[in-house]
Amino acid sequence: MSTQPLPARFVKQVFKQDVLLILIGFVAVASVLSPAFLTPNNLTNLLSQSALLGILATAQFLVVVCGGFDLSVAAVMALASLVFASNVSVGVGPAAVMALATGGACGLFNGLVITKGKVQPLIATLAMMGIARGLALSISEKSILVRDPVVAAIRSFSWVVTVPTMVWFAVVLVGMVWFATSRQALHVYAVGGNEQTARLAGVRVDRIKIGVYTVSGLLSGLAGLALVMRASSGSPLGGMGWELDTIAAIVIGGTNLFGGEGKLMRALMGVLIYQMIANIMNLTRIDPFYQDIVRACVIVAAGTLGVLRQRRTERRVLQRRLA
Amino acid sequence: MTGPGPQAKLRDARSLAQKHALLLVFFGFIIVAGTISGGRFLAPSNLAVILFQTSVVGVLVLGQVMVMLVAGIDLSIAAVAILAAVAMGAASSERQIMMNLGGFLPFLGLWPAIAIAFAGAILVGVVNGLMVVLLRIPAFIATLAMSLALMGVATLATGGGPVNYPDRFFPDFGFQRILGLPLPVYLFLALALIVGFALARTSFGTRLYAIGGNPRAARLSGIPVRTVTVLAYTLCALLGAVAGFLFLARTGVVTPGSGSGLLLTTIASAVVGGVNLYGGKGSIFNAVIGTLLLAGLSNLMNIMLVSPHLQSAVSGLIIVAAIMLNARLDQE
Repeated sequence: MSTQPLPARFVKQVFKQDVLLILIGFVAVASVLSPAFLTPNNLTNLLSQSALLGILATAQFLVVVCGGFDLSVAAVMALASLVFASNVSVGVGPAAVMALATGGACGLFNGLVITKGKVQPLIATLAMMGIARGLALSISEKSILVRDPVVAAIRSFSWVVTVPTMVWFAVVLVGMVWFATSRQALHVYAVGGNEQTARLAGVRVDRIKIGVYTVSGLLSGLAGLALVMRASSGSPLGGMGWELDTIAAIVIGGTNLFGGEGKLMRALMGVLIYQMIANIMNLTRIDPFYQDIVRACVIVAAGTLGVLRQRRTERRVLQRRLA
Repeated sequence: MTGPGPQAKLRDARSLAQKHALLLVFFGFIIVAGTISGGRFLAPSNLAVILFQTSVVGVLVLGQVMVMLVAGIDLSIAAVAILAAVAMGAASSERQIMMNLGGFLPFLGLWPAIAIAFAGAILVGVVNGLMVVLLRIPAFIATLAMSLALMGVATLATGGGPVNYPDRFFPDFGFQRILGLPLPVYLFLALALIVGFALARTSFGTRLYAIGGNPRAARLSGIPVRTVTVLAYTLCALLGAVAGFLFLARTGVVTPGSGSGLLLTTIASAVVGGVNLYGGKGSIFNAVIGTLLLAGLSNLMNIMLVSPHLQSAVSGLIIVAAIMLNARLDQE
């Protein structure tokens, strides 16, 4: 490797950042397609729209890297937003704690059902999706408006970006530090890569998994709070279908769907790319009905890209072993 | 190891219970349901209603089981059903076509409309299969994308509105009764018998189990893994179109949003019926029992006037409990 000339090495390094390249390409295309794209207003808006999905995608990323799925993130977010909205009269602080606790409890339940009950993650979290959405709708069928001065103040506050965006960035920042420094993060990758090997190597697999699902639930609860800060109401139908959007976004961001592989920073870029596609389609006034079809094509393309990437890695490993 | 004696007898009883755990749960449920509903659950007219409601989901489950046997999953099957129903309903009736604001479907007449819907379903199934087999995209992502695209097409075809006026043939078929049971129930049972027979007694079925159990071994033993997998997805989509036909026949109305709960019920029914998500395990008989169990549960909650939102929460809990029980019995 080190014998290669510097420019070749540089080019190789650049092409390793394929997700970043795609992101830059999208920004370029978007600014050509619509002059309204590269305006501060639209960018703030784009980030604000990405914030909720971004927080949920961070939760999804953690679970997927650990070799699972969490289809309940969006429904738990809706439930938490309603728990906050219907208890805000007690005070913003206690209501927020209740919302987070609700999210955490849903996540813990997922973790226990998956580890102790040996139910496949897809099914367990699918059931939780039904449970959380059903509970949310039985608290209230319509959105509950939050008339609280604190919430109103947070909602109107904006410093370059809005509060939900700040929350999202904070979550990503904490997540990146955690992934870079903690031993548990290594264990998460190990469990996602090969559960059996991880167990034999002394990783407490069940404990890691329960922790991962609980954190995913907590983050979904946090997204519920961000939802209230963004919309000033708790909404039982908030985030319909987003569980799949989070998966699509992190796949675009290069996360291996079968676990053990992925970078949080790239997953975040995946969220931005995914939202930008919607944003561009809105700016260029594409019929909303066609937008679903375009999104479907993007998901298939991202899936194919992920598979190609994985094959490349496998080939490289094989070559190294043969060398 | 299995000498005669009380312990062996106990073990025999236990393994018997394990083998038929689902049936035990099913009959237990029927007894409990009959008791707490004061017999209303067991009234013949109510049982007919359950079977009638099951016919749509049941046909979807038949398709889903085939795909799940090869360790796949089809998340687009409900969208196939809804789009097929939309296409059949809209293109079969001149009145409906006039109602579609901005829709692009022309009036075709009854049989061409049905033919178009089935041909479309076959195409969808082949594309699903090819995405999984050739591009090697995880089934769950590929079919999810397909589902999104199909819902987009369904909305485009109707201009976003409902299909209220399908050809008379559909409601006539749906409410024609023989021996007290509507025709869709017979169609469902007939298909269940055919698919059950195909899985248990034909080489196609054996190959599905082999591929799901161990794809490498299947390939090495000469099974055309790719062709059979694509065929499974295609048949699944085809059954989706049949379910769409039954949906339209049963309700006479379809909107692009009608299918929202259908997909989850389908997967949950198959899994409660013991079909393994990792492939190679499951039978049509048990899957049908699983479907009836969930349909009965939902019917019981309707009788007991449980609010529909709580129903979703309760069935989530019960699905998890049923699968945990199944997994526990399997383990021992």
